[in-house]
Amino acid sequence: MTGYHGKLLQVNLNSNNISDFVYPESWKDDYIGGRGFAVKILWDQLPKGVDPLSPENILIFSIGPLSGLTLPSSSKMVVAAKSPLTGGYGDGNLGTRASPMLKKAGYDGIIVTGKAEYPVYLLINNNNISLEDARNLWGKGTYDTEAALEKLYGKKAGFLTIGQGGENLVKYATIRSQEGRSGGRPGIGAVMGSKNLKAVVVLGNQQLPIVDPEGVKKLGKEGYRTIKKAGMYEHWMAQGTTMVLEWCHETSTLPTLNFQQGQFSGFKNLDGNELARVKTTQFGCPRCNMQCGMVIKDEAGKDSELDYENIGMLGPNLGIDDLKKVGVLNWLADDYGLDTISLGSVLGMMGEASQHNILSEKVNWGDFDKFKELVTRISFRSDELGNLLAEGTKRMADHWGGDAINWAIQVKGLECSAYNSFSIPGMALSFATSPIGAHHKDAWVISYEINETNRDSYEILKAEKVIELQRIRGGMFESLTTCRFPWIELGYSLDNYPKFLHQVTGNSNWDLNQVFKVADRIYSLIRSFWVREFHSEGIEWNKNFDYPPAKWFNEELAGDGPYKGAKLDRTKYDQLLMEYYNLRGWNENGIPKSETLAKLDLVDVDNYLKTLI
Amino acid sequence: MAIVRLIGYFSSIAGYSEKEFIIDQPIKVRDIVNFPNIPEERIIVLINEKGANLDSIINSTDYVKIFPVIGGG
Ligand code: SF4
Repeated sequence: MTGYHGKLLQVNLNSNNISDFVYPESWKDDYIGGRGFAVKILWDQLPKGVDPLSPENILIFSIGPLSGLTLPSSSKMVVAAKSPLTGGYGDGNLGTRASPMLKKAGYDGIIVTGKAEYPVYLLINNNNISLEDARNLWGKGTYDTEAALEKLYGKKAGFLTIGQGGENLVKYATIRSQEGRSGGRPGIGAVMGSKNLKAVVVLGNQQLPIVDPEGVKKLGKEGYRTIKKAGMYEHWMAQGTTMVLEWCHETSTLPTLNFQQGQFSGFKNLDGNELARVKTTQFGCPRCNMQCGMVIKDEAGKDSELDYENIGMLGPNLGIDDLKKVGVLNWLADDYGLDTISLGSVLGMMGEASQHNILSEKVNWGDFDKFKELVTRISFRSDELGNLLAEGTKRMADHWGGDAINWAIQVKGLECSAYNSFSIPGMALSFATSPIGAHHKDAWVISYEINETNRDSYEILKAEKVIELQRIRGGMFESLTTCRFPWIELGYSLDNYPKFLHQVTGNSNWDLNQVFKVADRIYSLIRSFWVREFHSEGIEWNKNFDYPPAKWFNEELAGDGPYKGAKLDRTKYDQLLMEYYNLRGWNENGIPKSETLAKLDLVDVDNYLKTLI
Repeated sequence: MAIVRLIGYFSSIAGYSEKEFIIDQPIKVRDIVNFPNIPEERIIVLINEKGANLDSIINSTDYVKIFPVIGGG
């Protein structure tokens, strides 16, 4: 009993060989779990330069020591692989019953390699593991796939599925789970599809490996109570993350018409108040008392589960001001298994290309029917345009050339989430240095920038804040695999997490500093992975990969509002980036220095990098 | 006339989203808004788009926006 099972399930779909991978004891302290285990496996086991959609790529489902325990919002799982969208490290997290079930089945994760001869699903029932024929499921959307599997294995099983987007290798296809959750923005669903793996079903009923179960129970219960008592709780329960929409409109950070503008005239039809008025129910992840998936009946009569990101990217970003229509686009994306952020960005870029008249086929802002048609053409790659849009904004820009680079709102190939950052350099830095390409999950600094700094400044405090949050959100929460919302939105104290770690593992050395050292190790290892993989393509890593989207430098924020005309300054951004590198102990190209890697006990990684540069 | 605009759940707590206040003499933000169950560190105040706080003084032509601190998903 050390809080872990000490092994991951290893499945080779080429040979149908199923075995245990017993990992070194030291991983527990050095990498914690979740994202930490995922990057360690990819670094150690993935041959350099593998095509992300080839059988050699490694698909990882990774949980952490707190996964699935009765403590606040603990049922997250990290899904990871070398990304087909970016060519670098890719991961995502989703709340899923598969997380507690995997823990109860006796595994800390799953490693999948190879490619099945025909579509299969992986069935885990404690230590009875099998590959089952999924030919009758192939071609189905995620809703029908889950429904069919639920008939066979019951409501309590954990399900991870892909839709037609993953099957057709759309580069931003995700993995879905039964609670209406999705994860793996950088195309982890496409990696699953490339392996002919349609689903994973997990059932388990073994004892959890907890050193002090009574302690966890007590602290966990207190946690749920503390969250419920927070002054903001009822407001969170009413609107969840959708309260952010009005907030972003008012701060001129709402992505509008492909990030050209920061305010949207129709925002009131889409904001949290409207959602609270029309929602029919709300869902969330297991083990969570902050259920944030707001469900509406969409225009097609489907139950569509919305949050801020998908409303922002499929509403204002496309000029659509009708929640029920946004609901339709969102439901389709969920069913096909596409990332709604990247999809909204791809469709927005199509809108901007049309605005500039470079295409024979056009879509006008707000043209819901046309956008809807494109979602299906993308998911099936059914024609030349659908096929191009399935590749993501960076490849669309390469294909169209000229000014199109200004319409691709992405970093390292991954599209930015719904925060328009012309006037907030700290958030731009956060997007630019996120370890998977542009994403807000590691560090979101806009409240801080607006409230505690000169908003449009490039002061070093902003780089410090980005790193502080990356340690907490991208390091701690992603490796514990618990949800960050209890802390970020309702103020649940961070100090609880090392306490849980101590109770679960029996290791009394855990404190926040110790956890943050692991976070730094994870970040430097992820960065080293990018350097290695880009090197294999003949590309030397440099600071240009840590630049926010070109639009924020080359154009000005358009539309209304007090920040009209704002843009980022390249020279000042460059200085801020150098401060960031300096604080991280990375060199002027953004590569971890030898002394940094030595401090993080990554001398072997340093030795390897020296052979490349 | 100063305008106070409340963003997010502050408007449901206070029962208005925007209101005009006649300011005869300078007055602190906290004298006209009150959110007893919300910790002060979770309140953002902007006066004419510039960072301020609950003790900042409102003058007669100011535009005050009050936001909840959010973590941003
Ligand atoms: S707060 Fe939302 S995302 Fe987080 S665990 Fe709960 S339901 Fe899931």
